[in-house]
Amino acid sequence: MTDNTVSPHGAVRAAVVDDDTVIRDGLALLLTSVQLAGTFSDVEGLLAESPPADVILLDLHLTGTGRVGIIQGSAGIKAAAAAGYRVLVYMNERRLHVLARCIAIGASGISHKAEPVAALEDAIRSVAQGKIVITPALVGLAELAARRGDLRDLSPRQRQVLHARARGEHVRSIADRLYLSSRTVEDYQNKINQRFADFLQTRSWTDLERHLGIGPGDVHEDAG
Amino acid sequence: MRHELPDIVHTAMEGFTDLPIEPIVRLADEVRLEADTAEAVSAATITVLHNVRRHAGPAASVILHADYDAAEMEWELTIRDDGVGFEPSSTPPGYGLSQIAGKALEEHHVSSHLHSERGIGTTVTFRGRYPR
Repeated sequence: MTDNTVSPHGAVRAAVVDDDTVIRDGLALLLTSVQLAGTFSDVEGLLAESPPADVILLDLHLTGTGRVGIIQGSAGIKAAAAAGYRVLVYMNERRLHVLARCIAIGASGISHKAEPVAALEDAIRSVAQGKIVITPALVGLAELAARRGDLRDLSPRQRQVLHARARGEHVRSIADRLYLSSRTVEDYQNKINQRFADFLQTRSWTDLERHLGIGPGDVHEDAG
Repeated sequence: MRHELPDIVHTAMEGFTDLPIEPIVRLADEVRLEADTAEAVSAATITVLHNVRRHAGPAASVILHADYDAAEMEWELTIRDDGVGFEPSSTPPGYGLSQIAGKALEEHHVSSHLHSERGIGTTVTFRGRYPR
């Protein structure tokens, strides 16, 4: 396995894998605090060129142009991760079981295309730093898992932060309310996200369905 | 007839597909409200979402979070946007619940609380009893 995640000069570099030309060309224009390491319409192109990049922005669906027989879905995440990349899944998919599955198979984060570019750049930077980035829906799932008796090793403070984040409370607001620094709240949040990712990666899909009431996925077929 | 709180939330969201709403309601799966209470909660939720649309700004995302505390026998619905917010002393005209929606909640023993902070967003919380 090669290590494509080391940024020698400190600038965060992201490569984009998306079958949508507007996304590829648009991000080249819109990303201002992140260096674009390349754009690709498929995973095969990324792997063939293997550009140095801290983060890969990866769409799950890469057959929108009618192409068949290419790597996408779970296989895309696994292939990029196996090549040493940190993967930030970039999509509009919001079904909970799909989001959970992305993290379970090795994605470092998820960002929705509907979010502002500044939020995307924040997510890219966090993933580049080795953090797990999850959407509000997954924060809600983490709270559900904690309430069902999973994630038992979370500290009382971490549970308070999880409770607040699941309700969308702003980091600064949580910090003020709990008499903590914003940095401390963010540290708790990062630990919770990592713990939840570990939980997703070590539980079978059947367990998740039974414990958390989430349904089977249908978008993660390993095409190709 | 009783109505499940998660269903009430999802139905109230239906007219707001233009807003980036994230429903997180599974913790309240067990909560079932009487029809008239459900109607009051739905109307109040819709009022709040109208306010988000009008006042919160185009970039605001919204989380609709429902929970149930079995020990307290209390359900809670939180509607939080990360929009522009406002100073509590200068609440925009029409923000908060209308008299009709607020009175209907009170009649069904549902409390409501509004909190906003400029640059952080606005939160509305409804709470009611649900003895299983």
